Amino acid sequence: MADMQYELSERGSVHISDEVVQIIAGVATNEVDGVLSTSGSLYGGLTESITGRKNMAKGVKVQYDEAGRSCTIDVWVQLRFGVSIPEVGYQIQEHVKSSVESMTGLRVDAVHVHVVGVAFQTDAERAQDADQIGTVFSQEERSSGGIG
Amino acid sequence: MNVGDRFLLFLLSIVGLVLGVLLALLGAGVISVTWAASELTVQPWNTVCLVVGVIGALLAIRFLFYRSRRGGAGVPAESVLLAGDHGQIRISYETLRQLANRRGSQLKGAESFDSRVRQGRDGVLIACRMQVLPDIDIAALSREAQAAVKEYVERTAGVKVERVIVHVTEVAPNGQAGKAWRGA
Repeated sequence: MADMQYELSERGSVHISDEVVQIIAGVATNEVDGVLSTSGSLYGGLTESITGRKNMAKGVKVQYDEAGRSCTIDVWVQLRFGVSIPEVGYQIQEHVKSSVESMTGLRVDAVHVHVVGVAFQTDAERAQDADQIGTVFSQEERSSGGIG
Repeated sequence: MNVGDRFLLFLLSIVGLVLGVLLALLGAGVISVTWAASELTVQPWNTVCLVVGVIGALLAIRFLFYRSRRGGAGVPAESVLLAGDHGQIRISYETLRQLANRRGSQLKGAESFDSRVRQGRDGVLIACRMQVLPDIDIAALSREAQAAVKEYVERTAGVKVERVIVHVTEVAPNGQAGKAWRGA
């Protein structure tokens, strides 16, 4: 992907690497409450595993429109169980758009959010969910005299 | 993974198996290194080595950069589209399946629960397969599953569920009465 380059003033031009926008969008996405992680390709996951550092550009794709000095961003996310998916999706769009626009000066035409899955954040959450199910069952069984 | 990829993976496995066995035999001294080197560098075995090596390398590169059709960035997955203020929100069928499975697994009397999602005319269709506990009113449980899954998926994902089809596969054997949700 070609990097974005535009004239800022008569003193020179600004050159923004696509990875810069990817990282800004990735960080903004992960800041939204309800987002578990961004979901990238196998290559992005391998990079994280090998370097041991979180790849903030993972799961983010940026398409530039140099003529309009704007970009379109796609993010792939995994959300937490229990959140309202459309609501979190809108928040991701808002936050990514405002972050990229304020930090780079680029106009963001669209932020496409791809929800690829839902999961629990921790094993503790998963266990708590199972406990809640157990509590509901035992309460129902007490009130109805048990299954069957 | 489609049929072609499965076939390529099968070929890669065969190549890996053959090379692994040969290396093990070389290491164990069953095959002489000098004999193998002399044989493999002359016709026709050098051609065989060349072809197998190139095919193995190409297959390895193919699967090193393999991207699943589901969930990989840049690859379209089966999904439901919602319009947002600043772009689209795509919710994959896998997400809807996980939501349906979570809600279905919470039902009292459902021992195991799995689902499939596909596109209908007026929303998505969710087909559920359920194993039930003994002595359960199956008709009532099925109706409850339909209502619960539909309500939960529509509320959480904001997509219209056209129908929930419940298929009760079997009654769980006695002695498996304890249940807890084990994940989507």
